[in-house]
Amino acid sequence: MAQVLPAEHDVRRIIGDGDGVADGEVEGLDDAALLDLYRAMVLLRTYDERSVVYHSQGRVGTYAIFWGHEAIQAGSALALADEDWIFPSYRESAIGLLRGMTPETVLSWWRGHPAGWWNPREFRIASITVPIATHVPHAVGYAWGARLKGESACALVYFGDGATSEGAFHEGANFAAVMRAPVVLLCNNNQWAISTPLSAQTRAEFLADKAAGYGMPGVRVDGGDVLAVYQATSEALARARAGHGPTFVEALTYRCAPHVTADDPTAYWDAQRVERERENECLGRYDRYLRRLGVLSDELAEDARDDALERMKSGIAAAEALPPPDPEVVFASAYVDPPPTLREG
Amino acid sequence: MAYEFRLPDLGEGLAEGEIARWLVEEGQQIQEDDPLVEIQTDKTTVEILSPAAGTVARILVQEGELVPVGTPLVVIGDGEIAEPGAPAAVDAPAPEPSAPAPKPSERVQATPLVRRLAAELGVELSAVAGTGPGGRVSEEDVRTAALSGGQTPGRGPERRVPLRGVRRLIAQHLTTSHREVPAVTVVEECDLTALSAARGERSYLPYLLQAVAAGLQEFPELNATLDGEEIVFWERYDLGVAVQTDEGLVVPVLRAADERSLDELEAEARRLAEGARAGTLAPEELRGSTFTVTSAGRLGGLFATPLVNYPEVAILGLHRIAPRPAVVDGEIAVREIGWLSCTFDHRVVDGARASAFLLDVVGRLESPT
Repeated sequence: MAQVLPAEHDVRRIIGDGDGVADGEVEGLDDAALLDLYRAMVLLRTYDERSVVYHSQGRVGTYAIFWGHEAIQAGSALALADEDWIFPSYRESAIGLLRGMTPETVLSWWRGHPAGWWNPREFRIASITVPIATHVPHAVGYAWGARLKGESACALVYFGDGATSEGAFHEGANFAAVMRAPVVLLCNNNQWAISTPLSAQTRAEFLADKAAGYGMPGVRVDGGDVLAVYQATSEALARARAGHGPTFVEALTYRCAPHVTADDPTAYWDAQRVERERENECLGRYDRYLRRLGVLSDELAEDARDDALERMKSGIAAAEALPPPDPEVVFASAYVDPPPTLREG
Repeated sequence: MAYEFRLPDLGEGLAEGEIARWLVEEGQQIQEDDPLVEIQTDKTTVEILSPAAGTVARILVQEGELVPVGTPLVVIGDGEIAEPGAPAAVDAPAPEPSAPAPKPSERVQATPLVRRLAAELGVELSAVAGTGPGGRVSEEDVRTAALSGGQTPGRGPERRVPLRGVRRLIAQHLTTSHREVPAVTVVEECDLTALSAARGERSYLPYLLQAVAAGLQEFPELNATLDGEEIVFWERYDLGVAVQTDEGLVVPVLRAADERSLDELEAEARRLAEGARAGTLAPEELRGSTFTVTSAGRLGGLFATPLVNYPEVAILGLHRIAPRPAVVDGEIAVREIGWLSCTFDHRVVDGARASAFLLDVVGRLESPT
């Protein structure tokens, strides 16, 4: 019999506030690893901020902003082993940058150019999924398959709070638990599904409580604390690799940017809360933590920023220099035998 | 090398944008990411940063012009300013426009039906400013042109100014109000003698706002919105306060008017009015009101019939206050008299209730506490 585990309700935190709340640390993370996390966050932040500018300049299409979600993305992605697979939603469009993908590739995706398609096997990153939660079963299927083949690879799947209302989420989560698939279900709970607030999304007090219904552990973690996310993901992966199956991680944050560039959130969000959250945003929190530890200097911070900006600059130049795609590409991989209706006209 | 910057799609599938303000001028040296231009769309005003560095060679679209997405706006290039009329060399890749910009030499865009109508009404199609997507001439454009005398020779001297910016928004908003709302106006007289003595340095506005917020709590159907088959009764009292600005009438929102003291009401109303005139209010300060108050002082008329600030169901106006003869205790006396009007959506509010509301507000103003 599977044991039904109550989810943890306390929100896990490692980073203090430099005042009354003391800083903690994560075992096994040395200074170099701490700085890797920092650079990853700076790269994501820079990608995101530049993309919003590029959009306003007509250089990329409608873009899903992830400002303030960098701690969730970097903290979880860097906890993975190289062999592990990532199943991103549109909010994690640039997660490939943390595995050596170039900004040119991701920018091309947002430009609607085929150069934005990558070989999932090359990066162990599945395609960006725009429909909500449909990739949860994909991740579970991959992970179950790896287990059946006796491999040690795990899967990490990202989705938002709104995805937990979807049938595909339920099927994926239930199947993962039943089959003990080595997968981490990482819910980026930023309180909004476009303009639908969490309170209109669920009657559950905590999303993590849903895990108990599937018979898997559920943990809640401060999504603005990169180290807490790293630690929670690491524990979930260790559990998965040991054959104990999936974990549901609810990373709590508040989206203080538009859903996408076509959204006007001032129509629905809480402006005062947005201001508070922006002051306490994740990169600044981690920056201050590293300086309190004496690990980060002005010079290192500036280098990280300059390097990220340089990569974006060459990335957009390279993406814009690509020749326009051949429209026939649309049909290239759609049919083995194109139906006659496609040939008409 | 020059970079031709085209109007991007700033939303998702927006067809056009208005050049609100250029932040650079021709001949100016700019760096990449310097503020370039403000674009106003149906949704918002966006400041666009320059995608390229160099000299602003030519500005191709003037402030106030409404152009389709994809229209070249400015040429940024190294070197000298191009001669007027000389085509700028363009070798930087420009993003694909979602709709090709119409060139002046191109055929006017109109459906066959509109072309036939134009021919019937004797309207010269190429002289009509199309308001449809991509500058397409609509049936309404042709009828409007026909009503204004078409393009027939012999019409009088005139000056035509495109409907732009705040004026365009006002026009759209009031058209909706006039079309959607079966409106009735009720007017009452108000003796403000006691209040004019009690108010000291304060204006009448905070007293009016306080009286309205209190009155609305007694008459909830005036603090409401008709939403399809449902009436939404707002349980907040966020009052729109009409402010005349150089650009036109603007209605910022004074939140939670029922929870504020007179001093707070006055300070907030002043802040909103100054912000409206300076154009510094945030978009969220201009929407979400539940009821609107208009008070134009000496220019408010003896009375008027204000239009409802759609989708609200009612608006209250305080009109000119002046010493006028009134009957007090059976005698004619000179009193400070002002008239109050209330225009209401008759679908939601009955006339008797609107009158009772207005008398309630009058009562509060006549007996200041």
